[in-house]
Amino acid sequence: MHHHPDIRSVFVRTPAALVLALSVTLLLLPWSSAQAQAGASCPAKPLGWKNPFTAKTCGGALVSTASGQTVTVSNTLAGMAGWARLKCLNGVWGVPSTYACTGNASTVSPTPGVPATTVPLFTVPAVDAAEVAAARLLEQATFGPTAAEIARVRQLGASTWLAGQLSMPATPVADGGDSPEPVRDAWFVAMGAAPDQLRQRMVFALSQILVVSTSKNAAGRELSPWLQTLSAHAFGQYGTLLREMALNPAMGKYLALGHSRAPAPNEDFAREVLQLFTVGLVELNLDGSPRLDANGKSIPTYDQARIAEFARALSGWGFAHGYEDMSAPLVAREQYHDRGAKTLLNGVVLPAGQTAAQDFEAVMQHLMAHPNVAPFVSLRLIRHFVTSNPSRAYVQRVATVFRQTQGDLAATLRAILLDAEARNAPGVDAGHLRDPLLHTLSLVRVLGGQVISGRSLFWDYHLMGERPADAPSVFSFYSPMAPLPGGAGLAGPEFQLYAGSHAVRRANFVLALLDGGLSGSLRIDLSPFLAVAGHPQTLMALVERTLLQGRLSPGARQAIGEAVFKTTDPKQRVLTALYLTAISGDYVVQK
Amino acid sequence: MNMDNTVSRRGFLGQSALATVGMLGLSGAARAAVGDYKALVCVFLAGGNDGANMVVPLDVLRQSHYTRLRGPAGLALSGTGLTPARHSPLLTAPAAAGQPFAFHAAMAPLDRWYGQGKVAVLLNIGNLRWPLTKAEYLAGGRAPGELFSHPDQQVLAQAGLGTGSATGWGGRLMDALGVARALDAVAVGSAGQFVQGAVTAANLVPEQGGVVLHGMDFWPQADAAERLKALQKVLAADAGHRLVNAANQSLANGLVLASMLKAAAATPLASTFPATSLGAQLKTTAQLIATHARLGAGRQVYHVTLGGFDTHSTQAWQHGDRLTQLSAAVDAFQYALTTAGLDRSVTLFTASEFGRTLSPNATGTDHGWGSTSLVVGGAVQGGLYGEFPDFTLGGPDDATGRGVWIPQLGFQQLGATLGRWFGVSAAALSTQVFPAELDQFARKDLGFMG
Repeated sequence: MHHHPDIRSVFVRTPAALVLALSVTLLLLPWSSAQAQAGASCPAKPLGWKNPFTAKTCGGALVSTASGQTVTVSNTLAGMAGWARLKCLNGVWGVPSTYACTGNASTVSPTPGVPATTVPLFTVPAVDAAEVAAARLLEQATFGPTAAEIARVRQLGASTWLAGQLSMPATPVADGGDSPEPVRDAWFVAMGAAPDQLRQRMVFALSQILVVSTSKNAAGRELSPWLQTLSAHAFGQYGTLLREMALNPAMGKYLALGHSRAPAPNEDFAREVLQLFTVGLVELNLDGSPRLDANGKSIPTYDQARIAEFARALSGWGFAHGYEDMSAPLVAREQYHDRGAKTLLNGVVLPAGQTAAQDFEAVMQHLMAHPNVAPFVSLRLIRHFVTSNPSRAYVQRVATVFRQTQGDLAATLRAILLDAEARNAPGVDAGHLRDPLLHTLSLVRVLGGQVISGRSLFWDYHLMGERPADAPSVFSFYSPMAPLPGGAGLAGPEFQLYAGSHAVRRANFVLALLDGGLSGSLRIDLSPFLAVAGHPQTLMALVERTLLQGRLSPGARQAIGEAVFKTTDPKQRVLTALYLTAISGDYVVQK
Repeated sequence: MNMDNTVSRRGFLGQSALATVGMLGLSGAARAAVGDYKALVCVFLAGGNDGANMVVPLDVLRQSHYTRLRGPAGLALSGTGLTPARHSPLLTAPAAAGQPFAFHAAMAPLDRWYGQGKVAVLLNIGNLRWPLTKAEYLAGGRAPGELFSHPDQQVLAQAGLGTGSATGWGGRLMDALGVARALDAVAVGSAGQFVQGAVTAANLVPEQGGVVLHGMDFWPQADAAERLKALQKVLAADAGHRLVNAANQSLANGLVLASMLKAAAATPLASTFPATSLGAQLKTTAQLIATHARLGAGRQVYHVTLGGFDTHSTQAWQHGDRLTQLSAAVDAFQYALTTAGLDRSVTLFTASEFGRTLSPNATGTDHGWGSTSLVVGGAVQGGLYGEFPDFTLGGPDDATGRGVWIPQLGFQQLGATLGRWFGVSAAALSTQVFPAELDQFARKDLGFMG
């Protein structure tokens, strides 16, 4: 057999995994004289096209080559027609008129009656452990790794890199006007491209706990105070964030505390501050599990009567300078404040006669002192950054830090991201489904692309279930407590945005991104992949290394590689490799 | 390596949607939980539907208030503005008095279905946390929050809970039954919280029905086929990680949904649907229902939307136009299902975030509270349920003095009545679907499903 170093394929037969290195060179005879002009260069057209070719000529075996004098043939089964893919030959594009085999083709005929395919073996790309570890930290702590940031984490180590992010100046949030779109777009671009990635990720996480939405706050000026407060306190004290958010005019409109007047105070904010911002519905252990009574039942934290008491305690706040004024925090109007005594949680009583500000401060201290707050906030942040199904011990370690630091969010984030459960190799079923923003922005970032604008994409994000700043309700885009479909007790919150129809939409968005259809908004460059498209294994290795640092499931790797191998057009090869990898469960789930 | 031996297959990706859909997440035990096929369809009238002009009371007292208040704005329907007068006992009212009424003339098609006993009219229904008197309302604290806000009240109406929820009551019915397959909760046209459960994930299908995975059709076709084949292998492979497998399962479900929609689009229906958005949505819904019903026992929930009910001005034309669209589309839907022999298996209902003030502004009406819902289907016991509000401004039913009706029926009661028909136990309705709220209502089954 004639061996050529550039020609490799793997011949697979069943049942034994008989791997036969094979090379057959197919010479091309002759070129038309018009095409065979020495010294001419090939025009910049696609790197190849197809020409029907009868593979029987070569005994039904795969014929592959990488260099100019030969024709690449792929997808050849015994007795079936294959395809010839032409390359630049002697400086010209051309269609061969005659083929001939060299080598002993008969030695590679498949065993009669045994199905056989000829595919290269696709192996895990060579990636060192430090690169995987750096990429994983960046998947958790940013909107996706970039090559530069991976290098930075490798150089600095996780802890120092985190410290740098925690001390980085915040990307400013501009004041909004009538339209919400400039605010929405600036936030989108910041998430995708701002250097203070950890803060952006934390703002995104907190925005799904302390929700405001354009479904009600339809003007940009009714959004920006909310984002400014989230950004300002992303690494601060949760209690401070809660106080400022409670009196934030955007929240004052969204949950209507700015319209709350005794004697019939609005209960919206009172209900949600209890249920969604601090303590939740049932009493929790420090590890996030529900506390149980003697009968094994969970213990409600409050009832409707308690909500009414909180609403009374929080009555009397109004907008500073006129109807739904967004220029300043809410201000107390004592004539609308209920000055009676109020009974809060666990029998705590606020005495009669307190001012609105006194009652407000007492309520905030009361809530932050509740034992639920630490596990409640910790579990939500762990689920956002690291995994839907943390061990109880992990939750308890993080919640302990939250409690000991009185809700210091920077310390809590360090505890979440530097914990062994985040930094060690992922355990069974670890990780979480990327939501639409994380999925698509991380893909742009990991491909070294540009996040230019989201304006023409927001309808698509809406259809994918997650238009920024447009949560359908105070319950946000999905419930942080939602179970994994069919998951036997596992949590899988983001799956609420990943029903079948949504998964198809997500895939279509990914394809449009890869194919250049969104280049005015999200721009990527496929040329590094096109450059190696002639070598399926090299292409697959580059795609897998770039997107997943070698973490593709073996079955997925081989299946995608095989399709790449059997595809003839280089651009389609690149799209097959990137598209299928980017919509595979291995990528959609951040492990 | 050998792909066929080393890659385990979960086997849900076949060539035919009809052959595979039965395998989508429905265990034999769960399938046994229901013995037949049923579907619920929510037609959400977004913007706040003016119930007072959808079904008009014709008793002397209410007519005098109605004509006096609405006449000057050109919003008092009479004569040819109404369908011929009907009369019904009030099937859930304590007094059980007879009540004359008529539909808006634009609803003549639905009036005909009413005549066949297939339409229940639910009077003064809306968002409540529990039954509420005017005195309790005025005392504060017992009404749902943010009463006149569209987004807030839409969440409550779709949740079927006066305190709100991240899920919808249709999705929670599916959760409670535990029979939801991957494609059994579908919002057509635009998102609908109604079909979202905690476990049951809501699909969103365009109104014309097309869901197509892009990138699987390029030249040469053989190469495109290789890409699709590879994707199917990726999605079927066991990655040894339950979240990864679930994500792959979701996309696989999407591929089945795409082929099912393609098959559904070819399903012949007896009706010609109107060329409106709602017509297209209900056509797609009817086609999906007809496709699924052939697959055997199961449960499905659907959500479609008709907007434009926020009639602050020029209501006379706009509301009539919307009711025309509603009636024509529901008429076509009902005729198609009846012809297909599915009308007893499918129940459609309308809901809106709130009603409108009886007292108009110049040419329209403002945000109200209680409104009118219709329930349509072969299994429905037609008639009037509940009572028209007392039309006296500032009277016992009026929350604000402008004819903002404190609902006498809650969406929990609508949901529980349909939920019982759907096969959900009373206990599950009280604890899972409408927790802490349904039990506040003395009457948990309004009786319109027999």
